[in-house]
Amino acid sequence: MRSINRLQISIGFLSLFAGFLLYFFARPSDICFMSFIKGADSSQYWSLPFSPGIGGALPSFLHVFAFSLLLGGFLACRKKGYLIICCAWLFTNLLFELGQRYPISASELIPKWFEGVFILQNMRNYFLKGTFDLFDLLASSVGAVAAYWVLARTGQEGRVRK
Amino acid sequence: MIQEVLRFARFLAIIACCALGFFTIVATGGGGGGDDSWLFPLWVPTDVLVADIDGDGHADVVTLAQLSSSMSEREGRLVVRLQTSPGAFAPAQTYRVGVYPWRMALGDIDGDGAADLVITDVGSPQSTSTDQSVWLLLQETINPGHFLAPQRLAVNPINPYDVVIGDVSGDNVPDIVIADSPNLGRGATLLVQDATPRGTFLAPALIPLPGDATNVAIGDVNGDGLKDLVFRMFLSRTNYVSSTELGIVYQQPAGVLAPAVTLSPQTGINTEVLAIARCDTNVLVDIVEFVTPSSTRYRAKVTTLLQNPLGSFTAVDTSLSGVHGIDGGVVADLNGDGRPDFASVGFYPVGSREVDSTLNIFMQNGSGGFSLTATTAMPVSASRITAGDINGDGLNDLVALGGDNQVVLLLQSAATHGTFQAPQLLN
Repeated sequence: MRSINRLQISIGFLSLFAGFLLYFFARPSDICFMSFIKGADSSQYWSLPFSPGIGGALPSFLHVFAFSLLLGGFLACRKKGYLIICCAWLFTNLLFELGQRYPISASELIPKWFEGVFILQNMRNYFLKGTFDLFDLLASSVGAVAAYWVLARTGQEGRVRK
Repeated sequence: MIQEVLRFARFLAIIACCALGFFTIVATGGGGGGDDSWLFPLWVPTDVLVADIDGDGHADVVTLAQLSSSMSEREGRLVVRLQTSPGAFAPAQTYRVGVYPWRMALGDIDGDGAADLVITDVGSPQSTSTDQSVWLLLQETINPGHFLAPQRLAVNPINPYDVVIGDVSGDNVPDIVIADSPNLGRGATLLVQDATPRGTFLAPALIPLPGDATNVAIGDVNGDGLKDLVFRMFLSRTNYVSSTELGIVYQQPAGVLAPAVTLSPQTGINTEVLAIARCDTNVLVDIVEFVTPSSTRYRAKVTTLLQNPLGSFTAVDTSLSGVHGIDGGVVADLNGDGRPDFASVGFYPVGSREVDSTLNIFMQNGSGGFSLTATTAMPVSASRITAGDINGDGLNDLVALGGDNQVVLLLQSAATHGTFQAPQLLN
């Protein structure tokens, strides 16, 4: 059995943690899960030290990057597998982003039973109230490319023969 | 064996990773950023009423809405548009009231002859008990049509969805009844006004009910000359479907409120309008309720509860299935025949990014049933509606609220009762 790639998983978790910090410090508590952590009334947050366009799209980059690394690390597959993983996460993010471009059509595709499931119940609002942003599409694509590059570079080192 | 366990653990980790990735997108709003300034200012209209506020003989228009300036900046806005001469309105006066004002009631609270406003505030989306309030705006006696700064009443409501003003304590002084989920127990909250001095209230009292009140109407239901209360009550929720029923609380002499008489159990609906009106040919008053579905499994309808001579009620349902534009409604006489009719308004998606807004007029047949007689396209995405005689011709006109807190007037034709002129925006 192939072992997991600890380095890739570690990078993935670090990226995920960076994303968490980004939300914690640089976003108001309007965002669903932040209201659980910061409290519903907390509207305090800090501006990022770079342009709003980049700051706004950074989570999209981190999401694709982190989860590609995590899944790649757990699967510890070859380059072709890494490519599929990165493309899959990119495709998922693009799909959700495009859902914000066509919110009513996208919200009609949501199964009714989502209304009763924690987190998933927010999906309708995600599409109807979310903001479509080309920067997010770009950031997701850059995240996928960066993830593939890191996965390919760290793949050999992480693979341990039985 | 160990390898099997490890393989299974890795399988679980992969599944968890995929699930977490998916959930993270939704939970964080997609991570997205970008410029959301196009969304703001965002108005959410909540209530509209027509009444002669300043006592000059001309009907005025009062609207309530939430205004969001950004994702984290929200405040309630009361806008008063005074009609100074037929068809002419003074520049709108705007008052900041709470965070999310929901319903308002008009009545002379302090006994100075000028109508005052009581407004419920349901707070922010992540409401806490501290930002849910009931506000009192007293009208300035020496400056009619203008209100003093809102004062928060000494009550801590939870989900104050509706409010009425009327004497329910038998002292001929108006009190306030709030349809909410009181801390004191299940029911509604009663604020009894202190007769001396006027404008002050005794400690909040509970009107005990089998459920939490969500809507309230006030009127003399049993014809004894005393104001009674009709509540729609939330009872329980099963699989996200709520069960509700009506409760009538009859006022007895000396301001004693009798235990609620329950009727009309419903499932999967939200009550938008609850009204007391005389619908059929007998002298007894009836109850009219406009309900919208809480999910696609249910249908909107107007239910008329016709009162029988023995005080029981018979329900007559009018289905609104297939009718578009049912966000808000009003029960009022819309053709001058003395019987209540019904109008609804709302907006709905057509295509992927377009919305249409429609106003529907239903005439009542004298037996509690309603039939659709006219449908009008609205110039803005209207969602709230009321009726009142705007132009002073003795006929009720329709006033809708929507879009960017815009008011739309539909004047009833004096020549052909029950028909309305084309919608016009009130600037």
